[in-house]
Amino acid sequence: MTTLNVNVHYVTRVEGHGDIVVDVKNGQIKECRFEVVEAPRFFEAFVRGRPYYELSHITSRICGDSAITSRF
Amino acid sequence: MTSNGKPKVAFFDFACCEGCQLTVVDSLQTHLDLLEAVEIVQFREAISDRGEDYQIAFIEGSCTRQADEERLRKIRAQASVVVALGACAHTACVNALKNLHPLEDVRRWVYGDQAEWYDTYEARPISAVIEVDAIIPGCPIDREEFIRVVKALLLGKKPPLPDYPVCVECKLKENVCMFHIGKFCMGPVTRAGCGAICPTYGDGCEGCRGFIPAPNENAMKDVLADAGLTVEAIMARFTMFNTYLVSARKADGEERR
Ligand code: SF4
Ligand code: SF4
Ligand code: SF4
Repeated sequence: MTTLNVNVHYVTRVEGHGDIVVDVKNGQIKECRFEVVEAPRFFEAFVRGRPYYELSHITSRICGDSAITSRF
Repeated sequence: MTSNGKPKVAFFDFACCEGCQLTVVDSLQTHLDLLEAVEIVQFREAISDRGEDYQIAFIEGSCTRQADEERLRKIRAQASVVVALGACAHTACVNALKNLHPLEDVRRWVYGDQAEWYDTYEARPISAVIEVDAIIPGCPIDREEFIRVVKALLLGKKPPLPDYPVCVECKLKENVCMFHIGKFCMGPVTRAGCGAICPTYGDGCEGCRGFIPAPNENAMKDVLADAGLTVEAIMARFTMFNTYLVSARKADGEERR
């Protein structure tokens, strides 16, 4: 029976910080977690009270890898 | 140094979009010779290695919580040279827009009942926590400037940081001024180095590279008002990328980078 303990302290080659925790005992998954550990940025607060023409310029900074989709 | 004499370089990120790191990857694709000159030991967005022995640290992102301070100090203790990579690290960029509201509101608006799960305080540039040796401004950074800075560091020189405004580069490009075609521009108070890319492509500068030393804020406000902007719209121009700098200037009445 499989016993497995996976602890990936941050996934690489992606935008954002995420950890993976997997705990398998005797073939049974006890725990399986993806933890988003990066600092929250609060974009919903950034755009409060801003002129409408700024919004897509601000939200495009959500993610550098997908700046165009983040705009919308 | 590695046994082959190449400086070891590491990249780190804090609160940011990682667009500046992406620009680094992009620049290196056309400057493969630079990859020969250094050894990259840690760069989470691009490689899986995570070496902790490095001399040059490029730090992207703003400091937005207590845990960031410890991590920043650890990097500073290891690196002989720390470079602020991009506006998030240099000026706190759009991250500082949340500083305009009470923090309890900010957390509640976004996370409601779970607000207390998310640790945060006012967004700050990394220079608020550790000493910074060089700056690459911009949101995102300019890829050619990144190359220039790396070359200067490898030669043991202080990387150049333009102290004149975007208007200078804009004039050298012979652009028609945005104010002459009914648009608005922060070029007169914004640090050059991007080649005035926004006005060159027909949009006013938004000030993403931070202010020049001793910017004449009042004259800039007058120019924007004469061009038809309301007081609110003028303040929005100043705060979009530079909330932290505007508040810092207001607080101590002196210019900051
Ligand atoms: S400066 Fe702009 S492009 Fe760079 S990480 Fe911050 S938000 Fe992204
Ligand atoms: S368009 Fe902007 S940067 Fe260019 S000259 Fe006019 S104010 Fe200066
Ligand atoms: S023109 Fe202004 S907004 Fe555009 S890249 Fe340069 S500094 Fe940033």
